[in-house]
Amino acid sequence: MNAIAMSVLLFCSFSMFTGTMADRLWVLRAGAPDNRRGNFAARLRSLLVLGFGQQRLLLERGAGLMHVAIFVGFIVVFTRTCTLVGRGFDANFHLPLLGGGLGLAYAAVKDTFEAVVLLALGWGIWRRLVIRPRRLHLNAEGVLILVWIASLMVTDVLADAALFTLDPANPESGYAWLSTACAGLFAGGTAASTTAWLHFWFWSHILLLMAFLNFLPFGKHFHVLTSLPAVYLRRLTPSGALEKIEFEGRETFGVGRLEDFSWRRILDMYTCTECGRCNDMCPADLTGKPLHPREIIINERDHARAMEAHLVNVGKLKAQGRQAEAAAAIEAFGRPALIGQVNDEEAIWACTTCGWCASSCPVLIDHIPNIVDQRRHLVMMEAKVPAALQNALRGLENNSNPWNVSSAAREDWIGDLPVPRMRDKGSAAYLLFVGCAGSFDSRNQDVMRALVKLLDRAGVDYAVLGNEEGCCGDPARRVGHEYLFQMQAPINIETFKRYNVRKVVTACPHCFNSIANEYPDFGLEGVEVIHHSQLLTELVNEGRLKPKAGADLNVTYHDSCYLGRHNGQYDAPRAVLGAVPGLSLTEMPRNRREGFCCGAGGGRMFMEEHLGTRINHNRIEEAAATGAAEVCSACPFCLTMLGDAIKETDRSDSLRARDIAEVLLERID
Amino acid sequence: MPNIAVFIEQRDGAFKKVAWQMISQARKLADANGGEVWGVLLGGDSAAAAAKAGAHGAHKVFAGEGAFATYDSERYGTALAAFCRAQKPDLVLVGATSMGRDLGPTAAAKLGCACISDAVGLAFAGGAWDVRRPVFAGKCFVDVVPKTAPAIVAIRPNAFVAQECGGAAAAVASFDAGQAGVTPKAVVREVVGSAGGRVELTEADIVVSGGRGIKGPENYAMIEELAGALNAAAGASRAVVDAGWVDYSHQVGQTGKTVGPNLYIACGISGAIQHLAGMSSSKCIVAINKDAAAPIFKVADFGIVGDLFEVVPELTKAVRAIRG
Amino acid sequence: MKIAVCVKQVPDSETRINLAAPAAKLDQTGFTRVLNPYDAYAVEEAVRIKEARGGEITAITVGPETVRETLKKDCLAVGCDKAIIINDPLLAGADDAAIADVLCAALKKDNYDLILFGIKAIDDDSGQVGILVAEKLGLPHVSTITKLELGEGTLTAHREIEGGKEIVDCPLPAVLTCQKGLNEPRLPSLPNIMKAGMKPMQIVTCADLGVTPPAALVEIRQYSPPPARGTCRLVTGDDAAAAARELARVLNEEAKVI
Repeated sequence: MNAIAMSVLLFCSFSMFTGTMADRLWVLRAGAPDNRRGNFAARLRSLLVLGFGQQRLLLERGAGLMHVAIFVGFIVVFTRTCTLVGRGFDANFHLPLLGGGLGLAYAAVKDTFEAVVLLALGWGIWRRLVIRPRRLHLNAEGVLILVWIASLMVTDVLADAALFTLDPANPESGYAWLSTACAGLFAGGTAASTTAWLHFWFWSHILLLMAFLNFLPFGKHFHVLTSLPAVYLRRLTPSGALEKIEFEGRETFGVGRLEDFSWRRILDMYTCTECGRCNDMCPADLTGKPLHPREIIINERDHARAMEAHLVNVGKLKAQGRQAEAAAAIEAFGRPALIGQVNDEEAIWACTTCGWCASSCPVLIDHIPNIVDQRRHLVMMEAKVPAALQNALRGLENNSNPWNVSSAAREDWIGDLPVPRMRDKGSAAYLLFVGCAGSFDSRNQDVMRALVKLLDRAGVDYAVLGNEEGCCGDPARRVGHEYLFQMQAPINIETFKRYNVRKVVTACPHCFNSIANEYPDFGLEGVEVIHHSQLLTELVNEGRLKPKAGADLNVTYHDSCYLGRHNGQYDAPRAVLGAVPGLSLTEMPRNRREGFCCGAGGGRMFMEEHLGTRINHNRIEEAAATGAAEVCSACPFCLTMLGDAIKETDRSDSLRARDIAEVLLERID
Repeated sequence: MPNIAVFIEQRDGAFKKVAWQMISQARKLADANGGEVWGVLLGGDSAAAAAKAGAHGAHKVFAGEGAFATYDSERYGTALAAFCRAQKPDLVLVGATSMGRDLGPTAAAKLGCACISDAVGLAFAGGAWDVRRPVFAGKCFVDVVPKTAPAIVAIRPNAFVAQECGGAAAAVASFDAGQAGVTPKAVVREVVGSAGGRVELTEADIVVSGGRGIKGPENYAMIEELAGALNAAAGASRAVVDAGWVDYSHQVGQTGKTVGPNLYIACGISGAIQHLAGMSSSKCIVAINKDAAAPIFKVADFGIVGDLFEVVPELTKAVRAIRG
Repeated sequence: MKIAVCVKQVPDSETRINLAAPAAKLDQTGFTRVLNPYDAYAVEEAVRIKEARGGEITAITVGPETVRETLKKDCLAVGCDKAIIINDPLLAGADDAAIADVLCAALKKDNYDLILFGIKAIDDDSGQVGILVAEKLGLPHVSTITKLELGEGTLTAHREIEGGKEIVDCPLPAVLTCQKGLNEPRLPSLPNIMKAGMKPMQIVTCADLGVTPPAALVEIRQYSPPPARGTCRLVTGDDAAAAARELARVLNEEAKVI
């Protein structure tokens, strides 16, 4: 069309774009290091399944299909875009291979996708403006981008339509069916006017495209560029595991300033599409707490953008190895406080680490480490801890349990039961890791007594550590006291080694998660960790526990976040319930992957819940609505929260909360 | 001949009951081992003190000469030391009250004698005093023997029972309390009674707490009424505070205040671990709950399984009858 | 302003005392040891005064070398400037009066404007040392304070009494014993704990202080377990009123708590 115009446009557009992107890379460089190399196969699989396969988007059917249409349309049309740019220089340009029949087939596919994209966009706009799902916030950018993409499709179609009018013999005419159909619009015009239209639509398309490219990095549609790298560079460790801090040789811990975040956290900010899936089932968001996972990411992104020049400078200094100067620049730079002004401090404490947000994020944003890193700053750097939590931390420090009961009372729950201690037995096939709740909380002591009776009945060779057991470290770690966690974990690991422990069974998903997913970072090797729901399922399947018939009982099952979402154990606890004759299970609407938190995770068990409504009340309403007589769980914290909610909402006469082990024991003679 | 002096504490002319409790115990010891029981009075109505002290078994009351309207450690400490130097009692008992806990060590330092705090038992055997006191917040008791004469011992209120023995008013003698030249540096400017006589939760000798069983904020008055009758502080479980029925300052438990009173009455509290963490060191625990399986009964010394709406008002009445 | 805070390391408040029968000694091995919680109020108050007016805080304790960690974490890391540990085998079995003598010797080495104590240590629950030190140094004292305001060379403190408080004016230097409610002690931050290791910590003996601990004025005869907390005794009656009356009688006559 016009090689000079195209060259100038390309140059301007790409130099602007390159400049923006280079700055963005410097900003990432301003963050702390985070090793995301290696494990190519797993990363590629993520890229294919979660990136190109859009697996998480498709969990929500309608919106997912719409996004897939636009995503695939984008890829298809990208080829067309390259061709059009080429045609700026040479009217007959085509990409390699697309000269002959393949090119014609592509034309047909391209037009089809342009039509599909237009339909999807139309629905997208309708949804934003009319349906308005809860998770989407109405913003101009969202609508603008949809209109913009639609304009790209329309200008391309109309440019071709004009072309086909001028040159009905064009081989693509007919194949590019949508353009062909639109050719009628130019019928009756003079050749000159049609040529003018052709130029108008063509250059409009190119200009919109170049502008679009340069607009992307400044909005949530930056994800068009960052999401695939973000998915590829995902964290591959278990979702419930937090990252180990190396204390040696460091002076700051956690994140109190944006530059303390790893580059990956900054990439998260740039990748957030503001889709709000994270908020959708966030227990804090749904019960009126100041925490909204999306807003955490957006607030931080806006904060990063407001200080971009500074971050670019820091990134360059760090890249040149001028760490001291970078540190001085960070120190000297005035900015609002990350915790308190950018993010609400209450929001940082409101997280239950239930994992819904991260598990639902299509672009693999990791909200929990983001929030826990800020807790780490509050707890370790500023010693700013909610009052109630101080008691729990004191207990963990002095007595290795968050209730601050004497550590000498840890095995009191055993009483006269014939529960073997490792110190007497020396070794056993299973170490039963009782955990603090099972050891000290009277309701959960009942559960533990039920469990040991089941183990005895099935003839399982097990032993407990008794007073040699210490807190697994979950509460300390989740509330950000990494230092305390790193004092606790090695003590248990040493004890495990002393008794040559090979298998650990625990009734607490929090102990389970810590020991299975976090202790390996501290030297635990070759130990199989299972949850009591898994062991009980095995014992039932092997016929070592034979539940007998009994009265009909309708129950519902509440998924523990750390057993289910974080560790994928949805079936084992249901299998235990399913093995009980006469028991019927009615699921709550939010179950399995969508299981709703009880409110106790992330150390929330040991904090006050004084904002909004109570999370456990929200959940118990749902359980009660199933009509079940019992709500069963497989986690001591859940059991406590559900039991409290039953009492607090005056449902003691119609609903009771029990652990699966108690339900099973009732049917074993 | 071990003579025992008992400090008769008064504030605004009102005598503390612990004085009569100590005199009663001292008289028992004196009857068994010989010796006399003396009251020591600083300020207040000496005739009234002598009548009461005599009725509980004191042989004499010594009234200090000087200005003792309000307590200050310098004047009182000097006076008690002067008394000891002059009369040479073998043992001096003071109440383990805010006054006695301050006065005991002050006087002991002046005399260079032994001082023993917060005693709950006192015996005389083999020519020596045996003082029993709780340590480690009552998890253990220790028997100690003072090696000096005099020795000052602070006795916890209610450790002994006041018993009138029908004695006549004790003879009153005044003594030179050594006040000449004493100009206290630390001066009490003002004594403020707490509004409505409300007792601070953590320091209260008795705490009455209400839990979810009270069912609504309007019923907390019932708890406060019982607390009032007992001169106790009113507490609450976390559930009650979270529900907004009473102010957070009442919360007893891990996330609230930790209390260790002589008596803790839990009304309608099930005894969740969070609550137990805040009150299990109480010396005597009473549970009133309609659920016999409630964990609170596992730590309670006494319990009533019943409807607190019936029991608590009746208990308030019964307490008022006893306390007059 | 020079402030001394006299502190004690004690077994954690939740410590279980294992004592089945009366014994001459208490086996304290394996106890978790922490800063006496009441002393934390004294430390916090000293730090607040320093923050408001400047000055230097010295934490002083009597105890074995193992108190170092506690002093580091709970005194130096929260704002005390230096620590003195008086560690001497002569002090084994020292009573309150002897501890007070030794502390006085240490306190006389410097001119402190304010000397702070906790109201009592939660192990022996004695609560005398602060007052004994004041008397021995010839300084005025205010015990059991819940509020403190400093003037020029004077202080005003609220002293807790039954059902109320005394407002006391006192010139400096003075000795104060600190009660719960005075303040909310801060927690040490991790960097401050790490830096606390660099602050001076001096270990001295009685000879260094030029003091000979006096013979104990009080001798410990034996420790004994508390009367067993039996199972809950359920009080009953024909009706609620009768049960309530019986409960009141039992509490009054048997338990002797009302």
